[in-house]
Amino acid sequence: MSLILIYINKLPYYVNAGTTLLQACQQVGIDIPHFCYHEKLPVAGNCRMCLVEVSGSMKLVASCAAVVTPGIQISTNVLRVKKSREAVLEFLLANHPLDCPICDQGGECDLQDITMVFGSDRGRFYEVEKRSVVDKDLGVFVKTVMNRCIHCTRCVRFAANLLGSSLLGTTGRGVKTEIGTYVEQSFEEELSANVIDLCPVGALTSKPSAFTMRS
Amino acid sequence: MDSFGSAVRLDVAFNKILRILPRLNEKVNSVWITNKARFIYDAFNVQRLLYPQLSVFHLIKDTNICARFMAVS
Repeated sequence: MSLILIYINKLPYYVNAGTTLLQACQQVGIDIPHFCYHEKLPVAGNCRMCLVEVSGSMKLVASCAAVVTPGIQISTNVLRVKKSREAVLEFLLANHPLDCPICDQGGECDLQDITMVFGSDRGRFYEVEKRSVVDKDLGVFVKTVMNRCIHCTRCVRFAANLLGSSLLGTTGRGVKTEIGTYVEQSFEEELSANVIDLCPVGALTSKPSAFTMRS
Repeated sequence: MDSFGSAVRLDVAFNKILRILPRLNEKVNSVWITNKARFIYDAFNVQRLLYPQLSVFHLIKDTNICARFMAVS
C-alpha cells in the first residue's frame, strides 16, 4: 500500500492507493451523503448523491466509484456540489410519499437525515402525480412498501452477491423501474432479512415488528 | 442467538427486547446476521416457558423445579 497525496477542499491529505474518493473523504472526517454506496456491497453508483467536484473534470464525479489519483483535487463544499445535492434530492422526493409519520423507518431513515442536512426546503414537482407501485409480497420477514423505494439497488446487490441468488432484480426503466422478484416468490434465505437494515428508506422493513417500534 | 456467535445489538423499550441488529465484527459475521438471530426476540416476548410443566395423561400442568427434583430423586 503506497500513500498518495490528495487535496480535499484545498487541504492536503495522504491516503492509501486504491481508496475511492468517498472513502478518502470519510477517512478525513468529511461526510458525503450517499444512498446506493454500502461498504460491504459492490459499487453501483446509480443514486448520484455522492457527486463531488474534481478539478480538471468537466462534470461532477460520483465519489463512490472514482479512485484517488496522485494530486487529485476534490471539492465537497462548493456551490455546484450543494446545488447538485439539492437537485438529486428534489428528484428523489418528487416520487417519495410523505408518509414518514407512519413509516417504520421514520427517525432512522437515510433519506430523512440527508434531506434535513443537504436538501432544499421546497420542491417544484406539483403538476405530476407521484409514482405508485404495487407492493410486493416477499414472505414473512420483509414487508415492502414499494412507493417508498428510491432504486438504490442495495437489496438487489445484496441478493446477488452475498446470497448468490438472482431472486431480486429490477424490471422496467426510468420512472417505471421496479424492484421485485420477477415472479412472485418468498425471499426467505437464511440471511435475507439483512435487506431490512440495508434499505436506506422504508421500502423494506421488518414484517414481524411492523408498527410496534413506536409507542 | 443462532449458535453462530454473531455480534448483535439488542434494542430494548417498554421493558421488552424489540429488535436485534447486527454489529460490526469482521472475524465472525461482518455486518450481517441470520434471520434466526434477528427474529429470535419473538421467543422472549411471546409464549415463553416460565415454569417447568408436567404432562399427566396429556394434561399439562404448571409445576416448580423443586417439586420435580424431589419427584425424580
